[in-house]
Amino acid sequence: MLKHLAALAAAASLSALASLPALAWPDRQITITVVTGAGGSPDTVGRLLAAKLSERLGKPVVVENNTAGAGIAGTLAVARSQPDGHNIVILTGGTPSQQAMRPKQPYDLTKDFALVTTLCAYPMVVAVPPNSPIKDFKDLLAKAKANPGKLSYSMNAIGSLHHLLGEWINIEAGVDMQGIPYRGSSQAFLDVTSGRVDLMVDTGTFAFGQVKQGQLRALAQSAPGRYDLAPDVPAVAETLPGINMMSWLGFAMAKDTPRPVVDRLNKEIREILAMEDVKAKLAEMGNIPMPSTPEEMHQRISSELAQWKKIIAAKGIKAE
Amino acid sequence: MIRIRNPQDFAAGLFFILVGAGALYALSDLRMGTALRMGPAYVPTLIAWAIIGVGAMVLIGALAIPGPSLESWAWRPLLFVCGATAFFGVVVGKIGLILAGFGVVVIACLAVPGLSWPKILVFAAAISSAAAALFSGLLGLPMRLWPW
Amino acid sequence: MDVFTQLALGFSVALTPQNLLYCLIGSLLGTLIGVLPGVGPVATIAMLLPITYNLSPAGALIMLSGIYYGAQYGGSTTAILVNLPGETSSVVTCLDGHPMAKDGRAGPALAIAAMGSFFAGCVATIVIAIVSTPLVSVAMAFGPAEYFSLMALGLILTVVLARGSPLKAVGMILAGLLLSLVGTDIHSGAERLTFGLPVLTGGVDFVPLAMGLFGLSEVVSNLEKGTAAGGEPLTKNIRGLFPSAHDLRQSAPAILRGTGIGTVLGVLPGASSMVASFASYALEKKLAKDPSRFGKGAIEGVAGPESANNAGAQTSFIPLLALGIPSNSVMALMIGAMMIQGLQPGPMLMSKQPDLFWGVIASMWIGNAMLLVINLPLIGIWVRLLNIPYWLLFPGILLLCSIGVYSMNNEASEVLLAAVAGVLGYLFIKLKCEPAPLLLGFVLGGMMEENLRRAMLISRGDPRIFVTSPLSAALLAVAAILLVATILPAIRQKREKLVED
Repeated sequence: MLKHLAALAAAASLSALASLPALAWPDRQITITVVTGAGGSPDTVGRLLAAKLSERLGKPVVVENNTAGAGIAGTLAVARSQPDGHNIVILTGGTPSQQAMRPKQPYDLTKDFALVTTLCAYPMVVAVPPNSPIKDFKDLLAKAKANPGKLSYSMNAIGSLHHLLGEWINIEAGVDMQGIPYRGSSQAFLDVTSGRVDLMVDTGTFAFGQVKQGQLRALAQSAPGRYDLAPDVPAVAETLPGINMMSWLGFAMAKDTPRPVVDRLNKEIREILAMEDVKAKLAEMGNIPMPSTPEEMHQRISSELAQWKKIIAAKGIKAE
Repeated sequence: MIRIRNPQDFAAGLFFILVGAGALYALSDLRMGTALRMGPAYVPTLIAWAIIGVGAMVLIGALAIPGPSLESWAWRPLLFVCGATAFFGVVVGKIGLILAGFGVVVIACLAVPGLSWPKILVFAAAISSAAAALFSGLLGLPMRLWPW
Repeated sequence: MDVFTQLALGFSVALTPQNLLYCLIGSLLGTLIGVLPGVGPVATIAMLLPITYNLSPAGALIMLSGIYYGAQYGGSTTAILVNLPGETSSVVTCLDGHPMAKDGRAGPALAIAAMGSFFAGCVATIVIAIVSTPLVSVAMAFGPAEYFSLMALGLILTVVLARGSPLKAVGMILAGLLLSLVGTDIHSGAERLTFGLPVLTGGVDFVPLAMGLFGLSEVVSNLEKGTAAGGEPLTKNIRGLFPSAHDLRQSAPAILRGTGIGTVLGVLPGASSMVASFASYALEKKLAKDPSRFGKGAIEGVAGPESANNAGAQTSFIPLLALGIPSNSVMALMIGAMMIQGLQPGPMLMSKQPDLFWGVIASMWIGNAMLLVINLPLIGIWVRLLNIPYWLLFPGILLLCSIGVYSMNNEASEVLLAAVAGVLGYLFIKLKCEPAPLLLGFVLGGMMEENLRRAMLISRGDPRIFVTSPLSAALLAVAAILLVATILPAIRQKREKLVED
């Protein structure tokens, strides 16, 4: 049944075949590996782009989820795949932090991949329940200073972007808020809204939706300046200059993938990300498009790696 | 004189002790922490000791209370059934669903003595193509069908 | 607007021919993937998401939820027929469902599972429509301490439902707990018990473990008994397709109790639908006049947990609809599907889009009715499967298992894990150690440890948090009472045996 529905999409793609240039790529199915679970933002964005790419490239583009080994297995498999441009892995803003936490990880993002482009991004958000006594971000820092070690924030696992943002704020503001690790946002949200935990550090994709529903109040977000999809939420950097982090998604392939293939894919993605319907879908999910050159992506990953290593060292966070 | 009166429980006790000891060994270089600030090794170490304790109790019980003796193992079905599954995992990424599925059925059939080869081969071909039609055709799972 | 007007609005949306069709497609597809072990609703819904871009929001949600509860119905089929639990909640169904099948009573087992699920689905749908807001406060009442105590109760229930020696059951639970701690610890980032294997960084997966422990070892054990060699089927004397009046009388109270337990526990995010089916099973066993029938094909042992499981699956929509938070990975996908449609799940959905909200709820009832109509006639076909010679059946089972496990992650090592778990499962059969307590410990262990440490962080190292919360204290008290009530008689028995010796 799925096949038939997919066939509709394939039929639509035939029209695109005529415009293919001389490059002999792709010559078979392209697989996009998503190393987080189905339904997460990498998965949803991956499937959106896969549909568009297969229309434009005239070959099937499928998404494969491989969550084995906390994503390391799937990422490693693409790094070791034939460098012919038919295996893509979606890296995320969490991938560099994972590497910063795990010196023994079997691949190096800056060396073992042909980076293609970043795709889209969203900031992290610091939020409280609507009835919280904390008025705004400055008030949060004041209360945290007055009660060292007393305020708690919900986050994902140790070393996640949630945690790194919390600790970065702790460092720059000279405060000591306690991170409470959760798996995913649901239980964290319930503990924050019922007052067991004081504030929530979560992804923009989750938090902005809850803000719209009136269930959370955003104190600040982590983009370098105001964020297009939530312009009235102040940036953390307005109070603590220097702090900025975006969670992003990006395409990478095996190291020796020919440059023309990388460039072609980069160009296709750029055009897809400029399409109005794609932009609208991304915005529904709280993302803004963020295409880049392979070099810019490399630059982003290296500087993030350096930044995370600094925070991890300063706070003595380490995977034992 | 110490006599094993319940060999089945004796083996089970040994198994639990081995599992606990293996876990303790694997946890040895992780931080324990304290009950109030637990490190990564705290809870698993407690569990490992508990399982060793349970194992010891089962073992002692096996010395005191008589029970069933160990049953013999059916090595042939065990080898071919689990072997067929393992075979599938190892080769499916390389040779595709249809050939790997064919292999699974052939290996599985070897678990049963006395099946004739023509029967096995026809059966294997039928089942693996049906599986391909179901998973790849109907459900559209992104799986390679052939080695090429 | 009162509930009846709202439901009428809902039915007017759900009963349009188009939405009925989506509901039917969803239920059918759900049943199919539910029957196939390993291929779960998560993968299917993820694959279908892009297609739903082009459907109406109500149509998309109706179809996707159909897949979800359809898979719950289908999952019990494989558990009963061939002892393959494709998802956590089917483990309990295996315990008595498969013995029933071997005894020639697969028909009544499948029918009672479908009827129990239908009843539970109907009740849960009404609950969602009428009292979802009060139930949200149940979810809010559960903090880390309460979760820990609930899980502790769950573990004690496992000892209660052990068939053989409680001591060995405790050992198996502990082994399951250990296994659940394999992987990265979220509280420290440390890798534990991975023995340096990268594939274990994220922990051990449930599906390969369950398939090996239950499915593969069952196949080996059947072959060992020589079923296959003589061209014999798994069961020779199939008796009746439908439950007798006696069966129905035995099952009805179990279905009622299971529905109640499942409805409440389904609201909690996490593995609660499985805790619900275990709780229902343990309750039925405790209440039964003759608990020794359990594990050998007691029909209440199928009816109760199946109802609990389906009620829980249904009410797990409540956090999604009322708060906009997912209570499991399927609900996370539903949120993705809603956002793509430009819908923000949460408390405002009901007031802003009442037609969609009530339409989806009404479709749940329709979908459950469809599933009953689809599943009852199928029983005749399923049961006939047990009639074919076993040598024709088991290679197919193995292939289904292998493909199912592989399809989750396209990862060879997980199929290997299933094979290893198969050998272990066979070892357990030989040592008379039950795999079910191990699996429950496995499912609960990680959550238990995380919530224990989380509670201690929140209370700043004060362990009294577990007893100062009334809910947590009550759960722990029940657990303690149950434990004493189970262990004491067992010890007495042992002592008597020793004295006799």
